[in-house]
Amino acid sequence: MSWNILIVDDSAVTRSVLKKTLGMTDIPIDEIYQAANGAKALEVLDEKSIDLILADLNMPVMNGLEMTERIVTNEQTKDIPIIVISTEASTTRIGDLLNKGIKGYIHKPFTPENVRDEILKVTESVRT
Amino acid sequence: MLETYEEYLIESVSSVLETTAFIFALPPEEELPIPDEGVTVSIHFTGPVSGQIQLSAGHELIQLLASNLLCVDPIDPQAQEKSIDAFKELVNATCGVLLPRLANDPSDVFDVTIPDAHEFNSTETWENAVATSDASVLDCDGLPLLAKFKLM
Repeated sequence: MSWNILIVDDSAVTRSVLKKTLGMTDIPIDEIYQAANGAKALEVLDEKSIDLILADLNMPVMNGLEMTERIVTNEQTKDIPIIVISTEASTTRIGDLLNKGIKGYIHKPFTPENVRDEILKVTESVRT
Repeated sequence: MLETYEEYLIESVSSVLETTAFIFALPPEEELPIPDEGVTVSIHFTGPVSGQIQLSAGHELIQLLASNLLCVDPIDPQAQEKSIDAFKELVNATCGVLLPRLANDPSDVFDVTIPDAHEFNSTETWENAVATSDASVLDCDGLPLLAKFKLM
């Protein structure tokens, strides 16, 4: 299986870093799509077949929490694994996100190794 | 043990710079060049402690930051084009490191704004900012970074 991955972050630099980091993993990647906020991400999800979402929380227009709620309550998208990559550190908020159905969490600032390890963990669990 | 919010901020921003961009931020041992043009980024947070973090730097440093994050040459157009975005991400990540240290408990919740940026274009702006009591200057590879923590 080749993965179509959607990166959702309002920082173009972070999106570029994540894209490069994905190249360091052994995940077979088909396409990498990008969106600058939750609303743009939902537009991409309407048009493309996505296998994994890497998403920030603190974004303009539509934040990552609202985007996650919409994705997990939509029959078409509810099974797409979401990994949140955020500065959020509150165990209360991270617990809420996990309860909503996110599959992984990476705290910013991240290293490429953090991202690679979490993505491999989540993609392995999806594959099996 | 760190004593003040300013010390927590300095340690947090230094840690983020080193981890993500391989830039070492140290207390200045000699006079640093004063930037005549640059950018100030800020982020507000509310929670058990509420306040604002502000960082200022000249264009040379923020282009270096962008180039290191993106793994491109500092004169690469990408580094120039994305330098303000990189600086906003620095204050965002710094906030992410700082807030858990200000929390009373790991479950404490903070609301954080989206980073804001504005450019300055005079050495006077820099000198006035440095002169305030809450300002700390760090030496980042020979270039100054100004950090401020304000309680609200």
